[in-house]
Parts: sequence; C-alpha cells; structure tokens
Amino acid sequence: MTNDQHSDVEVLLGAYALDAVDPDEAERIEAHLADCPRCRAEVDRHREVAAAIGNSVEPLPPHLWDRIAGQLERPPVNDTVPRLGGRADPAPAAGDPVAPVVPLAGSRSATTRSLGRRGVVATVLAVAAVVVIAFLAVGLVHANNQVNRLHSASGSLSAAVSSALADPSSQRVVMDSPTGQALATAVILPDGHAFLTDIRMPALPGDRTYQLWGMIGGQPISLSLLGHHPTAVAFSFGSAHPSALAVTDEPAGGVVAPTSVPVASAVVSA
Amino acid sequence: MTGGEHDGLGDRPPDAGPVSPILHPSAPPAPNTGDMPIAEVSDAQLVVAIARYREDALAECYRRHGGAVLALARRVTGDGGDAEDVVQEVFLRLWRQPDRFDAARGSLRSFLLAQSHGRAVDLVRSRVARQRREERDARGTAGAGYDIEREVWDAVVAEKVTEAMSRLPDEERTPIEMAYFQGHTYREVADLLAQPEGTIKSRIRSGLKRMRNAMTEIGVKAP
Repeated sequence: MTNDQHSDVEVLLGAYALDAVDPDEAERIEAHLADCPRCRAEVDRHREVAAAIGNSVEPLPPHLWDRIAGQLERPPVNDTVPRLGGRADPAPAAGDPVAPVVPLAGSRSATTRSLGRRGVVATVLAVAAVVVIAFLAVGLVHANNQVNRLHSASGSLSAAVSSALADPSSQRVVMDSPTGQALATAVILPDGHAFLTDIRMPALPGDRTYQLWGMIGGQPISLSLLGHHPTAVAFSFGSAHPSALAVTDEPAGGVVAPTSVPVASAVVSA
Repeated sequence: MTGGEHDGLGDRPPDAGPVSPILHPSAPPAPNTGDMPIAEVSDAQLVVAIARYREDALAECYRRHGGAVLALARRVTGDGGDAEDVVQEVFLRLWRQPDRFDAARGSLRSFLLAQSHGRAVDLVRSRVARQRREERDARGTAGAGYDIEREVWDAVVAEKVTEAMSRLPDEERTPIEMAYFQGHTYREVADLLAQPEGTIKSRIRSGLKRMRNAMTEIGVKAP
C-alpha cells in the first residue's frame, strides 16, 4: 500500500463508516482495511460515534422475535464446536468466557438440599439434571407467542395478575418449599396463560437466577427465568398442561435442564 | 477450553435433539424492576454463547439491542415493515456468523447498529429511484426537523449526544445526518448541497472526529 493509496482511502473513512460510499469505493476501502490496522481503528471509532448518534430505541413488536426464532438453524448433528474459532478471542476475558453464562459443573450441588416431601417432582427433576434430555421445544414458541400477546394485551403485569386472580376459572396452586413453606402462588388460566405471584423466595446472589419449570410429558420444560429476586412473572404453556411446577436455583442466564432440586414445587391438577 | 463434557451447557451434546426451549425475550423475569437475570452477562459472553447455538443468548441479545436496531432501521428506511426485515436479518446474521463480531473492535451495540444501518441503506437504495426522489424532495434537505431525542434508550446520554451534535458546525453536521439517517452517499449529499464531493467527504470525516472528541470531553461513551 503506497502512501497515495493510503491517503486516498483515508479521506473516505468517515463516509465509509456511515455506509455512504459507492460500492466500488467500499470494495477498495475494504481491501485497504484488511492490511491497515490504523485505518481499521479509525473506522471503528467513526462507527462508535455513529452508533451514539443513532442510538435510540423503539419498542419491539411482539411478533418479531417469533419470526426470528422460527428461522434459527440448528447446528449440524455432530457440530458442537464453537463457531468462533476463526477469529481472535472475541471475549478477552480469561478462561472459558462462556462459563459465567452457563456453568454446569460446579453449580450448586443437589446434595446441599434435601429432596423434601414432594419427592416425585424433585426426583424427576434431579434425574433430569444428570441425564441428557431432549427437550420438547415444540409448543414453546407457541407458548412464547402467547406470553407476548398476553403482555401486549394486558398492558401491565400487575393488572393481568389481578385480573387472573379475579377470574373464577383460574386455578391457584401454592408452591411449597421442601419443608412445606409457601413460597409462591401460581395462577393458571384455562387457556394456558399463567402467573407466578405472591413470591416469597429469598433473593439470590446476582449471579444466580430462579428458573421455573413445568413437568410436561414427563419432562421438565423451562417456562421462565425469574431473576434473582422475583416479584411477579407471567408465563405460558399453551395447550401442554403441566402436571407439576417447580422452581430451581440456577446460574444467571438459566440452564437447559435443572441442575438442582427444586426450592419450591407444586402438583397441578389436570 | 479444557475439553470434557461439562465445560458448559453451551456445548450442546450431539444428540440433544431440538434446541433448548427458547427463553423468549419478552417473557421478562422481573418486568417491573428491569432486574434481568442475565444482566450481568457481558455482551461478548453472550456472543460466545450464541456461537454455541444458545438461543436464549440470542434472545437476550435481542432484548438488549433489538429496539435500537429497529429504531435505526426505521429511521433510515422510513418504513416499519422494512425496519422489521432489517432487524430479522441483523439477528439472523449474528446467529449464523457470530464470529463477525469482534469485541476488540467495539461494543456489540455499535456493531449491531452498523449492521442495521448497512442493511437499511441497502434497502433504501434498492427502492425505486423516483419514489425516493419524491420523498426526498418532499422532506427537503436534511437536518430540518431532525429529532434525535425521540424514544431514547438512555435519555441522559442521548441528550448529551444531541447537544454535542448541535455544537458541530452545520457544514459538518448536515452531511453526517443526510448520509446516516437518510441513507445518501456522500456523492448524493454533495449533489444535494451543491458542494464539491471532496469537501463533503472531508467534512463527514472531520465531523465524526469532532463528535468523538466532544463525546470524550463530556464523558459520553459510545453505546
């Protein structure tokens, strides 16, 4: 790269960062950027400024995520290799950068809690923790749709909870700790919309979350992440009525299968 | 990566069947408090999880940045349907090619906004030229009535950014706004403003540099 070429490109970097150059210019600039860290850094700086200028937010329409989720390709069967191999470490943190997201080994041991009285639910969930489970993703997107519609329809969660509580057709299920202490109430509507309210679970450290599971078809299905200090939560399971509900204490970000015995659970009558 | 089966759930077992239940971004764990359970997970870590086909990580990413991607796309395309297409493309692209994001080169928000902008501009430029021109004429030249403050992600920061923008010399601010928000090339901007192309591309560049300095001075970081 000669100095002439460099300065030719350099003067275009602002316009390039704003996608305001012609395609042939963009091609020329990109060829130069591949070899010129200085110009690359300048483009990055311009893009950050552009992002600041363009950084407003709109509410997301409820259907949009479902459109996206419906198009996510699954990995090839044997492909478990992370897809970031080709590039220098994208997450400069030391160690396994994903560990804080989804630690499995080293999560709280199931042995720190007794199985408690609700043996059936607890045992199934505990078994699920050590067995690779094919989750029933079917119905979840559908359920999520309903959560979406629910939120947009209700406007506010507390209003929706009040309305559900007032609905004579709703079912109330108290979720107990293994020692029989009432820790939350699930309010279930006949159409599969539900809420967790009156939550009395103790706050967890910031790196933990409560996760709500429904036993559906004999398997625990994640219904919602509740956060580390939940107040009220809406969830939905569509037409797949759970036979039981359970809450486990999991690493922040949630897990695909429970890794500990439930802190609260309840059997749901059909 | 140390190997072994329990490095993290992100390494899905080959026979795990369907992808894990999707944690819908609009199924908030604590909607009243904004107290999100994965709030402490960094964007870079989310992208690593996305690279491992974690849909919940993509959902979280969408929750954090989708609204900004949509807002910018709508701003540039002027069309809700187009803007949603852009959002879809941006997040599908992140899912398919997470390695395109390089944390060393900037924030995920900046990256996604750049993606959103590029795609939105493509859409705008592919539209029927006449229609574009009519709209352009109807709108008049850039900058007029420009309102950066609407529906902001962070009102304080946005206000500071707005203020910094407003302090830019007009001859720099206007070309930046025309290029960025209306999807014009610098050549088109030059044409519309009846200025030499060389002047416009220089002003865009110097304006962006000036903005960066101003942001640094007032302590505003890029999103």
